[in-house]
Amino acid sequence: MTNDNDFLNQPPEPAHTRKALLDHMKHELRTPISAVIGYSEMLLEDIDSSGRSDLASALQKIHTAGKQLLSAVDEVLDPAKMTGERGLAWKTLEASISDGMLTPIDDVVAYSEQVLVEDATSDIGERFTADLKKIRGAGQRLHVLIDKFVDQLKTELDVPSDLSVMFREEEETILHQPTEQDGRTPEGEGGLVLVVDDNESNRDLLSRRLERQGHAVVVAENGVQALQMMEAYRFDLVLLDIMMPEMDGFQLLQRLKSHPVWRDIPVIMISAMGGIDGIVRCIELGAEDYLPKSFNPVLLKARIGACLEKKRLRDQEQAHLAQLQIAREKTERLLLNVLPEAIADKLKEGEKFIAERFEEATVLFADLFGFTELSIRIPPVELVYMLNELFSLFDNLTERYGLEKIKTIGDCYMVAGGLPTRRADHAETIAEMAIEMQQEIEQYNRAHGLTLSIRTGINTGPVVAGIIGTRKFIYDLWGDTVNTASRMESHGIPGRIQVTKGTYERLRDQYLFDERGLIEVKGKGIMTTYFLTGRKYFTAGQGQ
Amino acid sequence: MPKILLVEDDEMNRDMLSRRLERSGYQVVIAVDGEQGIAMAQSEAPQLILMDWRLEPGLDGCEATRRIKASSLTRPIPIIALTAYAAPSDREIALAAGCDDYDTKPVELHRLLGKIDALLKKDTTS
Repeated sequence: MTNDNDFLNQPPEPAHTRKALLDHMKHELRTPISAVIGYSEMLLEDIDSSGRSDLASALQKIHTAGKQLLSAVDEVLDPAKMTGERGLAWKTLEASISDGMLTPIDDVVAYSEQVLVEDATSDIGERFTADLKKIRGAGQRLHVLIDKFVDQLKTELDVPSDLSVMFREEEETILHQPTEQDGRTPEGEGGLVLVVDDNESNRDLLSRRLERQGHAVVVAENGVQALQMMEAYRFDLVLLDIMMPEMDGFQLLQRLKSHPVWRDIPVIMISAMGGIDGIVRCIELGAEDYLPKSFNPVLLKARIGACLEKKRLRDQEQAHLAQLQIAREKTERLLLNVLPEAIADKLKEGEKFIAERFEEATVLFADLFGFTELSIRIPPVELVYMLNELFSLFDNLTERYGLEKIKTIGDCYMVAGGLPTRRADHAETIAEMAIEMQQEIEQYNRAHGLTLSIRTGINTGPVVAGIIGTRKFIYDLWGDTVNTASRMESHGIPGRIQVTKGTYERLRDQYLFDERGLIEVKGKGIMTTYFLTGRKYFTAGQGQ
Repeated sequence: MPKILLVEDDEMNRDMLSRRLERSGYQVVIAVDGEQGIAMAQSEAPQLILMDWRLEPGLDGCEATRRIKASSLTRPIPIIALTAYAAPSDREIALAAGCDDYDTKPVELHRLLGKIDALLKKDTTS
């Protein structure tokens, strides 16, 4: 590498640092540009004589790019343009460089890559590959130089006295870059990738490279097509060019990241645009990573691999969360099995003592009669099985009627209406349930050849409902109303539904009753009770 | 086959230029710095010298040219200065140092061959 010896001999003066930078850049750039042009011309000659015209196109593109770079250097880095009114040209220098230089640099690297990686060139001579590598290296160096230069402009550094040292370090990095190995992705780790780029050769090159690395690729020319593709496929990764007509890459990125499903698909931005601002903006918008256009294939593979891995981990996490959710729902259902929802909610919110007074509720107790006799004949397990069947039938009824089953005590079934949600027809509904429970028992008897019966007691009145205790609690009821309902049952007659006067008064218009008369009720004294015998009218929607 | 001495410190440029000149029918010998350039101008007796203007370390192209032109043995050899830097003043400086012509990098082969050709035709010594 030649150094600018004259430059080195003078300490840089602040007033001239920018110009010096410019001059130095021009000088630094010309050498690799020269290599690109020179070698590509040689290789084109080689091709002529060996008949490999298939390679001509790529080499021609490289050559053209080299020429473009040469004129760009003269055009853009012209000191004469940098002076004048407030040095405006300095401010737009970065853009000019990007516009004029980065695309041809990328072409140089990309096309030399393409030929190196994909085309057999052994028939042309061993030097061919070596020369192509030089071209590629020159292109990469150009990219590094441009990036460095642009950064310098941005930060307006005091140009160090030995610029060439700085550039030389970069050069060494380039020279020691890993050589391209067969970049195949290990089995099963390839993904479905969407490549969005308005430039056909970029799309083509990138697709081929990705396919070689074991991924499946879909391409889109612009933002609109990209969105169509997103609808059609489930991608694992999107490679997105920043500079595109119609919808530029930033906009598309925003669209993707604001979509509820697509936002989780990693996006890698690719662009010829150098400079930190572009990169920062991409990352702020949610891009996973950023790759400059002249991709080092090993780097590309590594970054895509990392992205896909991250996505896989995220997907796994989603799956775990989904499982967690299912488990949570199971627990929830379990809880709701035991407690009414309103109570369960209060419990979840941390309320310790939950009790509520209901002015009006109707409570029913039903005791299975004839079960104890059966226990002599039938083994306990079978007995319990039968009990389960019967109570399950009653549970269905409870559910259908929207009543609240409180508990079972042995072979006694307890159900209430009018709580935890108040309703005006609590008594009527319990009456319906009682009638249907009788019918269920008759049916069960017929089916199993049994003579079971239930003794039912019903009462209406104020009730306190809630949970007490801290372990194995249930939603339970207290109050005189409850005790009396229980007495109605225990002082009842199998096969009959005994109700208190209070309940009778509530139901007499719609239901038929036999007056039982006065009975002595333990703990309550003398009471008049009634037997519910049936409905007065059949109206639509009664029970089942 | 005319012999050209190429004085160039950059390896890639050396490789590229020497091969292209050889393909164009010239014999090429190479010096990697100014001092070697001066020595080989004497020892190799080339028909023409291509002198890269910025050489490092050591003597630059300008100084090497002056010394080659200062020695009676090597003065007649035509020298074309090659520089990556396209400032107009470079041409003046090159000519003032004793160069017979001047060309810019990146090399446009036909243009350079034309200049080489012109100088070789003019050259009447061997």
